Amino acid sequence: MNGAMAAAISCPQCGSPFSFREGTRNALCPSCGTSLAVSGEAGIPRFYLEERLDLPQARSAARKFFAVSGVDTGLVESLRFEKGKLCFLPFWSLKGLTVGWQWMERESVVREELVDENGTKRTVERRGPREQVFETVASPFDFSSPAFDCSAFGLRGIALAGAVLPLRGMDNAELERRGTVYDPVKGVDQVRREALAAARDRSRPDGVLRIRDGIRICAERLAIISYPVWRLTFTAGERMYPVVVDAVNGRILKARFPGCREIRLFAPMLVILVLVYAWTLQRALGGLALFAFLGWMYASRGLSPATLAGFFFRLTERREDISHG
Amino acid sequence: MDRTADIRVIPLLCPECGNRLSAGEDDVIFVCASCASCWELTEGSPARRELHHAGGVGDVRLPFWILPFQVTTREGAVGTRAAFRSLTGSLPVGDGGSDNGLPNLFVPACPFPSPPHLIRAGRILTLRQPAVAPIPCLPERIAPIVFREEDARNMGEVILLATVTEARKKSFAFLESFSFRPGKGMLCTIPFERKGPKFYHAGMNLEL
Amino acid sequence: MQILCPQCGAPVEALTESRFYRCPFCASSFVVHEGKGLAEYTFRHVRDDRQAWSALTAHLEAGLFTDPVEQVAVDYIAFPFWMVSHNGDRRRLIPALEHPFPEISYVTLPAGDLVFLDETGDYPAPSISREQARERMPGDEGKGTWSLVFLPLYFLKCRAAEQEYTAIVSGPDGRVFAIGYPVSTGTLLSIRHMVMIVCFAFLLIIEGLLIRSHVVRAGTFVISFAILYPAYRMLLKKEVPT
Repeated sequence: MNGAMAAAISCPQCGSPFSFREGTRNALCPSCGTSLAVSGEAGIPRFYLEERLDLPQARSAARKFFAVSGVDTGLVESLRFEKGKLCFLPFWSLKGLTVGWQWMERESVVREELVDENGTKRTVERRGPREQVFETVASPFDFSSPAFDCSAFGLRGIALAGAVLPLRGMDNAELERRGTVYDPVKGVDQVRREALAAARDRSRPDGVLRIRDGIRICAERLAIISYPVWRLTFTAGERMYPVVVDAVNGRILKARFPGCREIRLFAPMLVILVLVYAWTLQRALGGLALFAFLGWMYASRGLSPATLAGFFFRLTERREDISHG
Repeated sequence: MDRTADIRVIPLLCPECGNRLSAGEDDVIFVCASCASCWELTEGSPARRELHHAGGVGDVRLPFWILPFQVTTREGAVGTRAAFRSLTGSLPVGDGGSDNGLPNLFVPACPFPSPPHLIRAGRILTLRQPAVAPIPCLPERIAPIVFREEDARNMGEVILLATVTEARKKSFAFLESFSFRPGKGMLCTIPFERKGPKFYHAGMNLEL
Repeated sequence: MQILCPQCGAPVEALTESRFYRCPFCASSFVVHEGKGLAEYTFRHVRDDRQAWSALTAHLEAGLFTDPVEQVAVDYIAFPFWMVSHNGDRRRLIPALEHPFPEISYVTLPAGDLVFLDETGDYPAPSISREQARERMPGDEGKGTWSLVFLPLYFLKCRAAEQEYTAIVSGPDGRVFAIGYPVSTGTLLSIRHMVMIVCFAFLLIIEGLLIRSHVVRAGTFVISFAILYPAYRMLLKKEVPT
């Protein structure tokens, strides 16, 4: 996103727009040369990502998903588009440095070379004494986490998208004309806790018996980034199917549809045909055919009334539901 | 609903002389080039900060947070330079000042190529314990200041642990009893000679 | 009486007996609670019962329950909750109204468009006071700014697998709050499918009884199969899953 013009941010000295990189603190006005500190009212700047899909494109992304993902074709034909709403969902972004230490105790492996009476060498791995390790942790850190209850949207993080797409300074009036701006409901303290937990988790190696750490996040830069998604509603009869489409890349974030049905009509019809024909040829032959069929059923599926009824009368079988997010 | 956290752009002008402050992307403390005053943005408005300059020659001045500190380990409290030296096992070098004064922790306030470099630089200076005598001057080239005092306090513990020998740190009991209490920090620039990617201080015969 | 606006702190003259006050400075709306202003919010949401039932059905399907669900009753309430916001964190909700559905205590603040209350809607007055709500919270959780949120909720009652089943569906994001899943009583067979197969069998039996020649009968059977099989297939394909 280097050099992306952020039209909504303008220099308070000369009024001209300037570019700003998320995760940095200051920018330079290219027109008047003033250095500018960018922050939010509470020290936290808010940005948004511009949507790249309009409503028809979002609808066609959803339709494409229906076609390729194995949603029941009968359902797809009867699905009607009802409404679509653009939503801007807030995410926390935290950048900084993780510094600290960790002390670990882990098992060590001792290799021993043994020579047997025939003179062949072989190495034996033996569990050695426990070893203690002290490590310094120091690395850059980039964390993002939803600032709202994301269970209904299927979107977990935006770290990647935020790094490559141009961000704009938050402009509520403009965004509310286009869609709904969701308020962050997760506070700063919670994000810091989550980020610290993620940082500790990241530097934790496997196979450790005991661990203690003193890891902290320094030079943190916090921002809230609003990410655009389309919430579409399709209906089939009385049933509504919500679909959430990423308004930046058209990915389906959340959808749940019944899967394809398999039609299994051939086997029951053929069995009936053979049984009736055998029975009309000769009653005994019919009895024999029936016996053979029941024998085959017994061997393959069982002979309970439910399985028999299922074999003849359940003509469609649903595959697993198509579920995203 | 919450319309209070929108974007805010603050022009960085020196409240003292009205001149423009120059600022890099990540700077947190800004030095006015014309009146040498030093400012930090706190809650949207600039607040004055003391910036000291150590004497010496060099073409670039690296800013450090200098925090006097006390440390308690299972072997007892460390409150003097002499005691700190015996904790780290280092030899007295240079003009470390009185052995009975509080030891100083040096935390870089400027960016280094990578976080491990940063810790290494802090470790070397802390082990040296150079006496820093601020002189009144208006230095030219100061490396950007990107860490606040709070960040320095957060980094302090790991820099201090970096000065302690590996054998000690492997002991769980040592770490368990280790507690670090930094005092009020002083921001001070130390002149260095630039030698390729490295910085060299002739007085201390020290390379970062 | 002068009351301070909970949003911007400006003094507002409270003269009337009206429940709602509007701050002339920041346009926020609030109620007066023990002589203090208290901000009240709701979510922008248009009632749509289909949405609530669909959300419930999807929830049941996700729990592998696919039996038909008989819709008994739906109750739509802008349900009041006490919301505690602490340093921007406002996920903690405590019901401000007693309700027989135990699921109510699981409701969390949905993602949505939080707006100030307007005077046009129907908002039930809270029956659990702030003090009572505070007592129900453990430790420090009550620290912060208190406000009231009226959350549009659907209270659904249905019969599924011969059991009464209750659930709460949150209006803004369609989340379902329900305890457990009903247990399916068995697999159901479609009457349509039965009729199709029985018709085919009857046709063959009648043909078999009427036609004496083995060869002609075999030919008729094959023709019946060749006609009915694709026809049935087409019918089954057209079926829309319910």
